[in-house]
Amino acid sequence: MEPRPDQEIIAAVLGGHTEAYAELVDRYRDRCNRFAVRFLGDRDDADEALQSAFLRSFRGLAAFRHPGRFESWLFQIVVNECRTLATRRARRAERFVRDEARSAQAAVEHTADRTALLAEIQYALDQLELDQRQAFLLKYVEELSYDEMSESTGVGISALKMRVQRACSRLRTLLVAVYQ
Amino acid sequence: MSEHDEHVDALMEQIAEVLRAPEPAASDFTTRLMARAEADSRSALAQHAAVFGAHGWWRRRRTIRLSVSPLGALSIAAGLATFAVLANLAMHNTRAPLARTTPVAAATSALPAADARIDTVHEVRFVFRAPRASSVTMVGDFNNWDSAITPLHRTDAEGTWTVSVTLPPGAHQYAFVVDGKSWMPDPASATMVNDDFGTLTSVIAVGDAT
Repeated sequence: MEPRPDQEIIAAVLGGHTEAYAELVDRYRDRCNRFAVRFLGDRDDADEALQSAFLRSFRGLAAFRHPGRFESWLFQIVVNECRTLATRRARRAERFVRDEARSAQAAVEHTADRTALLAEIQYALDQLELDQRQAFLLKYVEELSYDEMSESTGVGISALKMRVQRACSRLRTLLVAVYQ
Repeated sequence: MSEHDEHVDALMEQIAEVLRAPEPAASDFTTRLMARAEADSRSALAQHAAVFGAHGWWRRRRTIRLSVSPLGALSIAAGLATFAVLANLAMHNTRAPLARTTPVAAATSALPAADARIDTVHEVRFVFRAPRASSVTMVGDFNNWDSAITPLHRTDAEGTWTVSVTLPPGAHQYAFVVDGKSWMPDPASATMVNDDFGTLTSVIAVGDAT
């Protein structure tokens, strides 16, 4: 069966069928979760940010004027929620300690193990500045165009290009040994 | 592209490929979210009933449909605005709050002849006092909690900051962000709630929230 278009689900929710919102959540939660986990480096934080983002989107549906662009709007909220959570919570030090332990373990198992490789990369990502990490993930992992990135973040294209470039440079320094 | 750039790009692609691996949300994610959404809906309805009354004039007004000329529409709009302001003053007849709401009824200028009607929009003027602030912005459910979208403007030497925001009918959560870092609820707001992060957030009820 063809999945219902977003507009139709939104109309149902606004018409009083609140439960229909679950269809939208199921449709987009995994993609949003991937961004949140990579950006925040912690699954519990990602879950919290996503719950909040989807709830904000639910509350804002009545005021949302472009139902054909729900995914883009939702992603914008997710990006904002992740940033807010990252800046509000000073967990970086705690996470570095935990990930350093994981990273040391990964070195023993060596990079043939893809999980260990992901842990190495996540550790490197965590060391980027928030702006650079966000720009890198949107560009390389979510594969957004610079126009789309600008729409999601409210940041100009030139600044985004600079952030991506700096992120790449830093990641290269941190990870080149892993790939040699 | 230099050899060095090509090497960097190839490396980034290798890194991105690993990061693109699926990361499914928790299996009970949707169930937990929907429980909160349902509770949120009930709470919003209860809040609206508390502010406007379950069968108040706001609810009845929604069904009014008028066929009018553009000029007539503007006259009616002005009348509605006056009525709304008076009603608002009657509801807040104690001391003047720092944040004032001024609902303004506006009519579209090109009304279809067969189905002419008036849509009411609400322009809410927020006033916030922060004498030592360098910048004040608003975050709320109406701007996706993005502090870059709705800056307030300083209007006098005493540190009064204001902004006018067009809001759809309903209950809206919001807060002020001072100097880009301090999140503050509106001291003039009658209703405040703890948001999803346990932070105090103001609530404003605008127009017909049904």
